[in-house]
Amino acid sequence: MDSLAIMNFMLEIEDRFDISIPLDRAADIATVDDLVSAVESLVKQEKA
Amino acid sequence: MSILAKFSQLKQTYDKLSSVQPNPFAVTFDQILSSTEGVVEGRRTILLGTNNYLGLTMDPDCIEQSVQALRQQGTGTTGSRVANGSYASHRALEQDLAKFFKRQHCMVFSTGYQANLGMLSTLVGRGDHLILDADSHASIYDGARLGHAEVIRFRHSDPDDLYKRLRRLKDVPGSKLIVVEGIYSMLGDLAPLREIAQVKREMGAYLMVDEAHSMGVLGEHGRGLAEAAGVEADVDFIVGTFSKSLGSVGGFCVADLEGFDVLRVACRPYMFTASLPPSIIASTRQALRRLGSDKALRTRLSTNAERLYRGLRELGLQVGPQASPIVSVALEDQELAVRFWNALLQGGLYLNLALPPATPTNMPLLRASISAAHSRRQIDRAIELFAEVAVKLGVLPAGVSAPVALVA
Repeated sequence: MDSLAIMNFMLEIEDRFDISIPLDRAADIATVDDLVSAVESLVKQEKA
Repeated sequence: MSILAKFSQLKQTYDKLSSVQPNPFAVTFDQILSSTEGVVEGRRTILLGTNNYLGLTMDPDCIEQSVQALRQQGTGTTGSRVANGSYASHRALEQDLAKFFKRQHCMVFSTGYQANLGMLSTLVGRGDHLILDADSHASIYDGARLGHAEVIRFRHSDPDDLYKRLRRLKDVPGSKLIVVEGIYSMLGDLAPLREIAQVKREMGAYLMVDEAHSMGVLGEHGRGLAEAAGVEADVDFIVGTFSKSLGSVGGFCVADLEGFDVLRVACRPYMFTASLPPSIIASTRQALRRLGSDKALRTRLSTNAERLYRGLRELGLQVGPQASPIVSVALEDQELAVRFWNALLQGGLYLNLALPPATPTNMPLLRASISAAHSRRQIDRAIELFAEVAVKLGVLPAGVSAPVALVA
């Protein structure tokens, strides 16, 4: 994926889970596992 | 392995692009004949990619003011405002700008890039939130990276998406700063500022507008998109540059916020760099006077912009969503864009080649910036050349040409 595709992909994920992924968190995501745990923790935070 | 090994892929792309002659990223103007014409490789060339919106780089009064200041005050200040002192003219320019924008406060920076770097890294800190338009200029992203605020993006010029993101932050502590641009530099599209201001009012946040490409271009008095959209009261901070409509170099931020001046001793890109030379300050002040008093410049600029935009669109080329002093033509792929750009330059027309990822879509752009100083003949010649090259390269079907009325 190029950088534009990655950005659009992240925007889709944000919409789907109703979260905003801060840029510094996004920079730490390298694997699917990283993405899942970032989304999970943000969803939890959102509900809290 | 070399320390530069991480750039090997970039180098490959760069080498490939520089193998064409002339190299699109190393154009040299051997001579500048006027604010709209130069000499490239011995050819007289129309300059249609200089952001010189009002053509003031060659204004005789600006030059005269600059020369006088140079003779009286020397070539440089050799130091920072904070450590080495300000010249009276730095203060005077700040007062001029504050007055022009009808604001209380102004800080002047040594470049427009540094204005964004400084304001974004300092205004918000740890525990605060920066909410950026996804298509923001590199200086905005870099300012965000230099500071410690949490950074989130909203979809380009999408007030509903901005609303959603502010809603998610509703009960989260910390200041929130929204950053948008008046005119976006790649496609020349305007931010939907009225709607964005409404979201800002409703959700409670600060709003910054970067008027780099819109100061002197939009608004009855040239104060930019905030003036044109009638929402200046909702805009807390305006940043801008001297290197476009004002024809020199430097940047600024104006605001009404009480206590603004404390930023002078907190903002590192302001503190730890040499201040602008007096000759630059002098021409900038003169250009600002001209910008404020000569509405005809803006009228000519928008007439020229409309003419180029309509002309290229009518040829069938893919232009941006609206006419503005930035008109970009999108092309299918990089190789075609480079060939197109080269053919225009050979034909005597210089503009910018913008390649992904610097472009908002994945398409390469031929980016033109129009000036009030362009003649009708120059604009028409540009349209004519675009038509010729587009047909030659198969972008447009054979037989397409600029209307006769335009080229006459």
